[in-house]
Formats: sequence, C-alpha cells, structure tokens
Amino acid sequence: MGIRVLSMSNRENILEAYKALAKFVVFGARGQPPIWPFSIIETNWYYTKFFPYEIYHTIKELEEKGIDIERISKLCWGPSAISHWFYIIEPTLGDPKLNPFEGLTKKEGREFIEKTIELLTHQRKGDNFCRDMKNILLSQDEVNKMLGDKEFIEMNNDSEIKKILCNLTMTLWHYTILIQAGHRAYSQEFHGPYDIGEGKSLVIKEFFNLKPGASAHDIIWRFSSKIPYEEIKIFEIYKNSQIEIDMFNHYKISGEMVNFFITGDGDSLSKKELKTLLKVCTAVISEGNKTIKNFSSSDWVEKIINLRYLWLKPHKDILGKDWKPPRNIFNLTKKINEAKKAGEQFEKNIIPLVSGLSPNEVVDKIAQLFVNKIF
Amino acid sequence: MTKNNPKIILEGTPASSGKVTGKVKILTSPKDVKKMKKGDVLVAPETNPEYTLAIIMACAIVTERGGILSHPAIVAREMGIPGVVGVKDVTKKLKDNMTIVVDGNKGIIYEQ
Repeated sequence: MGIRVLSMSNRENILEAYKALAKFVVFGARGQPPIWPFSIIETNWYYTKFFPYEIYHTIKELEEKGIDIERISKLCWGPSAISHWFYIIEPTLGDPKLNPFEGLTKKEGREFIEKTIELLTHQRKGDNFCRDMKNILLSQDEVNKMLGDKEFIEMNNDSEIKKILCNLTMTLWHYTILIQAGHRAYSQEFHGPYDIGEGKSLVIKEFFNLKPGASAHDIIWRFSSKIPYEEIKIFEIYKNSQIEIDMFNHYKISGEMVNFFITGDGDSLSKKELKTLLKVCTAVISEGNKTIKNFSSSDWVEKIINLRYLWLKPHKDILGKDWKPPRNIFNLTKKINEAKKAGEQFEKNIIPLVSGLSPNEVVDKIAQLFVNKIF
Repeated sequence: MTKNNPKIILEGTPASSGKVTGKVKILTSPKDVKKMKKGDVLVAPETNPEYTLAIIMACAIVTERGGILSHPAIVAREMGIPGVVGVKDVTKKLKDNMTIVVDGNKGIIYEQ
C-alpha cells in the first residue's frame, strides 16, 4: 500500500520529506505562509528555540526507559502534527544565522528529523509523506470492522443536514486553529480516502484534544471546557469522488457525499444532537474570539510555548515529569522583533533564490536548501 | 456592460467551484465582522477563526493570500460556496457594497 521509505538512506528519506513540504509551499500555498495569529515563519522561529530540543530529549529518555518507538508514536496524537516538525527549519531562510535545532548538535538535529520520519512510519500505513495525496492510517481490515458497526445517516439531498454538517466541520476546523494558536494539526487529523467498494470512498475527519489543558493543573483555554466532547469524529462516504489529502491535512474533495456518521467521545450523534453541538461550538468559538480579542504578540508566544509543552504531556506522564515549560523559556517573549524580522525576511530571501526556475526546480531547490541545513 | 460580456475586475486562483452574485464586505479586521449580512461576499486578506461567523453568512469567499490548499480555499470548499484566493490587493481594489460576481471555477471577479 503506497510508497514506503524505510529502504532508503536517511539522507534520501529526509530529502523526500522536504520535497513533499516544498511542494506544498510552492503549489498549495503559493509561497504565502498563513499569517494568523502571526506568520507561521515567526511561530517556527520560536519553535526552533525549544521544541526540537524538548522532543529529542523526551524521546531519548523514553527509549532509555525501555519504551519502544511504536508506543512513543502512539502518544503523538496524529501524523500531520508530527509532519509539521519538518517546518521548524523554515525560518532559517529568513534568518540564516538561526540554528534550526537550538541546544542540539548538528548530529542530534539530524537524528531529530530521522526520528520524525520513524514516528510517521508507525502511524501512516501508506506513504509517509502522502505524496500520492492519500493519508492512510487504517488497514482495510480496520476500515471494514469500523464500518460494520455503524449506522450511517443518508444525505438524501437533505439540505438542512448538509448545511449543519458543513457549518460544523468549518467551525471545528477554526476552533482547532484557535485553540492550537494556528497549528490545528495538534487537534485534528483527516485521513483517507479508503476505498470501500461500489465506487465509494470513506474519509474520516477526526477532531481531538478539544479541551487542551482542561485536565491539567491550569486551564489553558477556559472556554474549551464548554465543548461537550474531547473528541469528535466525522465519517463521510463519497460516491464517484476525487479526494486528495496531503501530509499536513490540507484537502480537496469533489464528488457527492452519500452518507455520514458522527461520534462524540465514541457515541453516535443524532441529527438533533448535531444541531445542538453546532450551536454550542458556535457559541464557544465566539467566546474564544472574545478571549483573544486583546491578545498581544507576547500573549500569543506564551500560549504557543504552553501548548507545545502540553503536547508532550502524555510522554512526560510516563517519565513521571511535569509537562510545564521551564520559566526561562518565556524570555522568548522579549524577542518578538527578532522573530518578526525572520518572518519578513523569509519571502524577500526566497524570491531571488528561486526566480527563473520552473515550479519543479523550485521544489527541488527549496528542499535542497533545507536539507543542507541538516547535513 | 452587458450580462453577456461582464467586465473582469480581478483574477486569482480558483479555489472552490460555483458562481454567485453578491455584495462585497471587506473585512480587514475581525471587528469588521459585524458588517456582514447573509448572502454577502466575504473579502479579506486571509480567513482565520475570528471570521467564523462571517463565513457562515457568506455566499462566497475572496482572499488576498493563499493557494489552492490554503485555509480560505479549504473553508470555501467545505462550505460549498465559491472561493477565489491569491487575489492581489483585493481588499484595496474592491469597495464595500459593490455588487460583484465571483466565479470560483475560473478564479475571476466580475463587475455586475
């Protein structure tokens, strides 16, 4: 199933990962990174300062404790979150002096990226980097078993249910962007398409970790406790469709949705319950938007730091350690101008490097630039 | 200008199929969300969570930034409404309450 990369050399593996990333940057986003709550390049500038170091050492400690990489991978929520670690190197194009993996040696930085690929291998059953535009996490047996016990709701041109479903998906999509400060992958994973016969395909849209911090000592987002479920899964069946999902969960679906099924913390939800859920989600996101209304850049940086450390809570729990960030990390809030400059410089630096090249040459060039930072 | 030969105002990347006519509402900041009425065309630099309620009311989405896999493109497709992204200076070139036609199939904004 799909293209596996295990047999390749580490350098080839890494180059393939960065080609997949560069392809998205060039064709999917047209070189324009998202800018909310601020440029993704700026966010990644902060990440370089603590995230690879923290992940690298946490994984190392878990392995020393005898925890195998497959189990570690299962603690990592979804593969699109892991895939985003490749992005951490991006701000080096805006700030050439930046060490992409601060606190780690070059060899350790390389190991961090290799480990990222290894973690993905344990989560994705298809191509690690979704180069075939499929994000396959389940085997055919798992899909069949899962479909067996579900009573799908027929769409039957029901415009009301169609509206509820698309509003709910869009609201949850935005909600996860909000609670993860731009990095929705830490609260969602869209996977498929799974071929289920008779020209039909299944797509599963999972939203999870919907109350970040609510179970920890302090509540990172107070409003999140009002979301009724920790996890919402939407199962959609399409007929005669074209479905594409990339390694970061950007997706394109065309075709007719014929059935769907939604669960909240594992329980199936009726049409009436969906209406209520949409109302609650809309109210919660409005409250969330009020909460962030007067956020400064340093408020966001603090939130990003807390959220990324919280992401490692399942790992830290096994190690018997507190998930909370060390206080000195919050000194990063004083470096907002440096991060901003890297963000502004990124697009300015990248244009002369790739001008005159064909799109495919741009992909190769960007991928090579990233890989050169690692080797 | 006849209906058969509408004037092209701006072009961008076609992101979500469909063609609709609506009134422009330029939302350069979340505080502008209250301008939106059901059936308006949402025009913004980029979409983000603060635009959620505006998107629910929009008949189409047009943004300055992004490509075919960007957030506004995905959101427009999810909502089943036309979307055009990567339209340079759209928030400056269009004006509030102008009536426009958004062609998400071709990535074109026409004057009505």
